[in-house]
Amino acid sequence: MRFRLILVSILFIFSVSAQNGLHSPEKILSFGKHIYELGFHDKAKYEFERLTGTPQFNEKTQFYIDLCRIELEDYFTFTNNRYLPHLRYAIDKKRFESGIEVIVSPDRLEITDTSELSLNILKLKILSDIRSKKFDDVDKNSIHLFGSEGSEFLLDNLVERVDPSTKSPLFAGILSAIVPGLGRVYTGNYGDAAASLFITSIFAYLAYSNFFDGHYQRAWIFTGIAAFFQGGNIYGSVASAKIYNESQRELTEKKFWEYYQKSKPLKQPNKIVEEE
Amino acid sequence: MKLLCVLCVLCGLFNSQSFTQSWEPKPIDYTEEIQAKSKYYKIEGDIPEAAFKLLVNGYRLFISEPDGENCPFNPSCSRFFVDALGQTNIIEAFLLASDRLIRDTSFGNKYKHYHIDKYGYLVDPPSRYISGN
Amino acid sequence: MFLHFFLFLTLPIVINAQKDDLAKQFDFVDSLYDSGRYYDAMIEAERLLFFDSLKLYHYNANFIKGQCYRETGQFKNARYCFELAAVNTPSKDEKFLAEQEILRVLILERRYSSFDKRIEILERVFPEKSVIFDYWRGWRYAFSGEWEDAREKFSISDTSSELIKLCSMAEEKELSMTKGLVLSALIPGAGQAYAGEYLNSVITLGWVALGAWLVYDAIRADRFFDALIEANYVLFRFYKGNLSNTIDYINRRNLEIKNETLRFLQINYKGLKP
Repeated sequence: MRFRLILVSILFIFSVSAQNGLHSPEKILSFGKHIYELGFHDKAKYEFERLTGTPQFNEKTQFYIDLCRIELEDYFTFTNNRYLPHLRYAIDKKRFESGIEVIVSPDRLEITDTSELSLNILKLKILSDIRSKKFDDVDKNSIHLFGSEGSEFLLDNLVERVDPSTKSPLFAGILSAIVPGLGRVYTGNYGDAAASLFITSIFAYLAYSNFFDGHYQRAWIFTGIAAFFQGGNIYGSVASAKIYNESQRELTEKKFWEYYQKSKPLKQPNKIVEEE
Repeated sequence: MKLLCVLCVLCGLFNSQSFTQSWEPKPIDYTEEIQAKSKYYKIEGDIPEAAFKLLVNGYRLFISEPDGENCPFNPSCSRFFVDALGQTNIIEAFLLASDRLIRDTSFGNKYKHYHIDKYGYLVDPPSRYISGN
Repeated sequence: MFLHFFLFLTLPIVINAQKDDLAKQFDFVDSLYDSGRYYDAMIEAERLLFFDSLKLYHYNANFIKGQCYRETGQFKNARYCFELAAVNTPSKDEKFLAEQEILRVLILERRYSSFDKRIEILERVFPEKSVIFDYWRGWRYAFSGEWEDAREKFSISDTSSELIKLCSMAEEKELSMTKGLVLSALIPGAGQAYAGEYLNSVITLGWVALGAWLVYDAIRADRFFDALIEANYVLFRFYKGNLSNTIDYINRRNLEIKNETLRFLQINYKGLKP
């Protein structure tokens, strides 16, 4: 018995000494996962690929390699194994984060399935639907997945997208044609509105005054300048209404992504796999 | 083991094109960038084009330059007009220029409404206003 | 009993084997850095950190990572790694070296207020290194174009006097903003001429003179409102432009002088530099 123990100990010591140091398959795997988390996906992929032919190379390792490919924006080369649904989720999540509309096919949505993956696919569908101003029964029944605060925010954001508060460019133009700068007051650019009124009125007054005094040459010059600024004032008011509408849309989008960055409602695909 | 590591790293290099781009050695430069002054147009093209460029150059030399750093925008008002002319017709370019001059005189806080570039100028290209954009 | 004794004897072999691996890995990282493969060096340093549970190489690995980031222009990450290096060593000398690297990076980033705050704290921690701190202060002032202060700091710390001479030369060449502005305020365009912009100087003088004449003419014709508008849009506008151009031209000229001096230092100065 003692002899056996000594033999085992010696073998253990030799195995440790002769082992490939920091490059044993277990260490490569754990280091690969570590640098994947740090965001060095090309190097992580390489670490996982080094495991080919070792006992550590299995479906999960292959899944990690495919995940790295997705992070490197290669959406087409991946392995067909039991982690395929996770990979499809990872691709959709990455695409969604790049601003692309994600269409979740009905075969991937089983409402009765409460697995972490299904819940996250459902959440991804809702988020993507909100971005593209769609909202169906599935979304309505599942919005509670984001919690009370999250669902309230998302519903408000959807309303802002479907029915945004806009300003009419035509109305802004008409207002400015009647009173210089009034169109800009309507779009909330008060400083520009005051400048419009000031400049146009001054040149209009100078034109009037010179006509009144009989200085016709000067009067026509000032009339031209006043007309030039009045034209710009109307044009600018129309443009400012359009810019206002665009900025409202951008604000809604910005708030949406701020919520996404802050709340991180979607789980990382590798975390889902690790927890399963 | 060193050989193994070297081999690994060499193989890795071929697979990491996009990532390594930001890892290229970047020579250190002690000097500070001097902001480029607006350039004058080279007088070329047919007669109307050459005449127009000459006019713009004249405006820059005799009005814009002595006027000093009054314009908080990028592109400056003259550049804005020339760019507008390139992107639209002459009437719209004049309307755009007039609108720009009004916004330049604005009594409000201009910095609230525009993006600011690295030199502190307000980014305001004509494409922002041209109808249809 | 024998077994226990045997295991006790052989345990250091296991630990040493791991230490050897870490030492080999560090050599490898070092060789990668020396050969200019900064990305690989950084990843291998990360591997060293990841497996170095006893924190034997945390200082060295973080230091090399910081250098890799600095060499590739990623200054913020470089500073972070040097910070980690500084907190992961008990040695005061090593701490100082890491802190010195942070100061060098801050100079390159031109983050002068952060530099000033940091060096003030460091002077309290390393009072014996005040001469070296003055040397880096000299560089900081040279980078911000404050030649008088730079010369003063180098005169405390620089034994070769090469840097002092260069600072004095730059100081002599530099144009005075006060002088330029006073000239322009008294004679519009004179400040521009002082900065070497003669054509602009003449045009400016012409505009201001025209503006003054227009205002005078309008007042003479009792058209006071016209005079006000002409004063605002011609006279005062170009007078203000005259002053702002003076500031701009002098700043540009001084920046050129600074760049010329710093370029010379970067290429020719052989001592320690940012």
